[in-house]
Amino acid sequence: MKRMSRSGIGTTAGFGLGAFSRDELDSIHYATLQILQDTGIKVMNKEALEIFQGGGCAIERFDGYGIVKIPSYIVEECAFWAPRTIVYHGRDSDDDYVTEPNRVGFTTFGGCINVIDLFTREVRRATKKDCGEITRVCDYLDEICVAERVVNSTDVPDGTISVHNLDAILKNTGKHVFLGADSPRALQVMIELAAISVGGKGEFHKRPLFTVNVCPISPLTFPNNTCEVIIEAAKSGVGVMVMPMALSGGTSSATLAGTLATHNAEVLSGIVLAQLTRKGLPCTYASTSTILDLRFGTSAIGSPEYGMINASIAKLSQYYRLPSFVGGGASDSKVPDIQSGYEFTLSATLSALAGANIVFGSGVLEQGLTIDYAKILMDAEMIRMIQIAIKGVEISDEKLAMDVIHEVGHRGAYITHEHSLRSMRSQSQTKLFDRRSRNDWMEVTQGKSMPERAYETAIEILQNHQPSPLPPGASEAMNEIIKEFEKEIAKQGGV
Amino acid sequence: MKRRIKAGKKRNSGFSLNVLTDDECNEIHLATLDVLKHTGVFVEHAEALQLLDGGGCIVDRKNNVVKFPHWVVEDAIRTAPSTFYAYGRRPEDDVVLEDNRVTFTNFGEGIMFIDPYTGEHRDTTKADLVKAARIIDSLEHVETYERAMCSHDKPPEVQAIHNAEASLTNTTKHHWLGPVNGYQADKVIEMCAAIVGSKEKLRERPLLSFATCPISPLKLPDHHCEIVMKAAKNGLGVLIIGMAMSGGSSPIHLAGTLVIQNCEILSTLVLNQLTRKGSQFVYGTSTCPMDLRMATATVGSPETGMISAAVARLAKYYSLPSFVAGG
Repeated sequence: MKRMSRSGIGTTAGFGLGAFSRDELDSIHYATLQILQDTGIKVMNKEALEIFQGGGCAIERFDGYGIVKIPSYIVEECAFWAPRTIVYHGRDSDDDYVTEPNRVGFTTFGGCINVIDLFTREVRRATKKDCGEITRVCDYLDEICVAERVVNSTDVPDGTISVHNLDAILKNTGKHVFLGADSPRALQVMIELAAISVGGKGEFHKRPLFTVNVCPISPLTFPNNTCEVIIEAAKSGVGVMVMPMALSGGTSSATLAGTLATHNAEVLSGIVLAQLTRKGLPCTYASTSTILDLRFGTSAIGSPEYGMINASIAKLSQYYRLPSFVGGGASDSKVPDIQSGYEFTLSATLSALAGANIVFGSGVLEQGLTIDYAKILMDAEMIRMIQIAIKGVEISDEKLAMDVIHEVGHRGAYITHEHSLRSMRSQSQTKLFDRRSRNDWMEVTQGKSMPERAYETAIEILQNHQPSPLPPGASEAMNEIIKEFEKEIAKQGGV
Repeated sequence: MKRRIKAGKKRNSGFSLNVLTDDECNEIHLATLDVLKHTGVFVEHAEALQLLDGGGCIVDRKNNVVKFPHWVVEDAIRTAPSTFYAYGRRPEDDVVLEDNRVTFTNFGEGIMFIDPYTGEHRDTTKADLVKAARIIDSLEHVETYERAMCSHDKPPEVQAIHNAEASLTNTTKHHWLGPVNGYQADKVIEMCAAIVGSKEKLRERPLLSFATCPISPLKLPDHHCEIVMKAAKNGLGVLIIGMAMSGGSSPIHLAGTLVIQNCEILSTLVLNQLTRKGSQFVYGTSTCPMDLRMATATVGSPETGMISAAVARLAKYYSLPSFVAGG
């Protein structure tokens, strides 16, 4: 039968989250503008106050801080100046990650302080070695599109942690890196390290290998260090990611709508400071806000609200046409168990369906304190499943395959049809998740639990995977820079 | 500060999934009508064939194949109610199923059981089903009850009746239950009538709906037709659960699978509405892909969720209540 092509019909290009109407996003935007204009933000840095003032904001100065009230036109101008799309460059162009509306990628949670030891399974402080090794596993995983500073190197001198983190990460992955900086000086040193790893300063400015995370303190406060780092990053042309962690019911309104408004105010004022320092600086709209569980006094990142807030933030960032980096997949469980799987799936799926450019949260347990290798591997498997799901069900002549349906009729079987064989690879495939029959499962795995199998996979990856190599001599030069920087910090008495 | 009321602004009342557009649902609908008209459906039951013949279908009695003109299918869609009242034994157990209202129920039916006391993996028994029904009765967020397990310790010919007894006496929630064949369906109806007082009272507040499955691809077996007609005659609702396996008994692409399943459900709907216009009908799915590497039905795959989401959307397009796999 002839089936001619149809003139344009409305189709969906995948599954997506229906969250807010345009009117509702407008309401959040207007509420934010009022907060910034009437209540303003607290800024604890002199240079930042001057930049805000020079840009046209009203300043009231107090002892050690100032209140900045930002007129709405400045907020809107600055949000407009920040680039629409960002390429998060890796060391090789293969690892470049492009953000555009609704392109969804995943990465791990960041800034954990503990790790579950791969061999002893004890929970202990994370070291620089852990930071490097976990990064190497993430480098291996296709499901992880950019590298987060997963754990902090807690075994190095204060004031040098961020520099050591970057050193460990650069030596173990070619992917773009997201991490914080201890100070403007540390940021300068980090730029030197990254420049060496990519083949020189000139090359670094073409391919800035990392983005700096900065965190305002909720509610509406920019501490000295946050301001300094934003200003230094802007001056050096390194992109910033503004990530508040508001706790609904604790440091922000107990209602999610109110939390979104203050969260939005915090991100936008960070973007204003960055844009007033350097127009056009790449800015990433980020979030790890959640609720404060008022019964336990903990930040509940495994809660459904975590997914709801972060999916909403993804929608808000699309409203401002800015790249987004939002939470999704984090867990409050203490071990890589069933709770951690349920929690991962709900919030990661919500954020992904909302079209967040980067959903971060894999691998983490215990309110964000502890990272676990098995969890990273198991979450990577679920990330693949989520990526299949958001592609949705394609309705087209090719996929409807009407001729095959008529041919097979009521009696035939599709399993033996050539059409099934040809399209077999379009199905989801599992590695760690088990789809065998009970008998086959017992035979192949001896009933070994999924976390156990995941730990084994992690050990294999660490034994066999090598990241793309640094330029010759880079590693030694980086060590030299760090040695100098440690001396410099020691002279200042540790900070 | 005064903040006056805002004139009509558009709001979303919750999070939702953007699945298929109306145009895409229409594509699936047209493809379904095409298959029903040209390839048709295999129907085994003599009375059903007669009813379908009288209702305007083209019946090939030699091959038991029924072909459906478009209008027959669309009439049936129009006459089926869009709201399903899932009555419980007590009014406080009643649940309304319509449009976007979301409720949850347990899986059914498990044939193996992990014994909570010994940890042993074994066949289910009637005693297990009694316990399962009681547990589900206690769970606030399981709004209706699907017969959870099978009474393996009873003779196969009467297992469905034992299942019904174990369930009906241990939960007051609305039941979804497969009676397996016409004989047991009659007995289950008698049991229900005994509980509520009479067959007439059962018609007013049917506390149980029959569940039954077509066979993919495109077959309505004898017992399936029997149950669908019995439900309609006795005023019970019927839940038709599509059980295709994408890549096995239906096309490998989900679009084609949705069409096959839609053909099976809608042809059953025609039979149901021809038996008694306005009968309560629920569009169900437990369709999943067949993992072609493992040769297993992968109910845990992302595709199962995607099919279920698409079916919920499709049922909404037809204004029919839906009952889909998830979890």
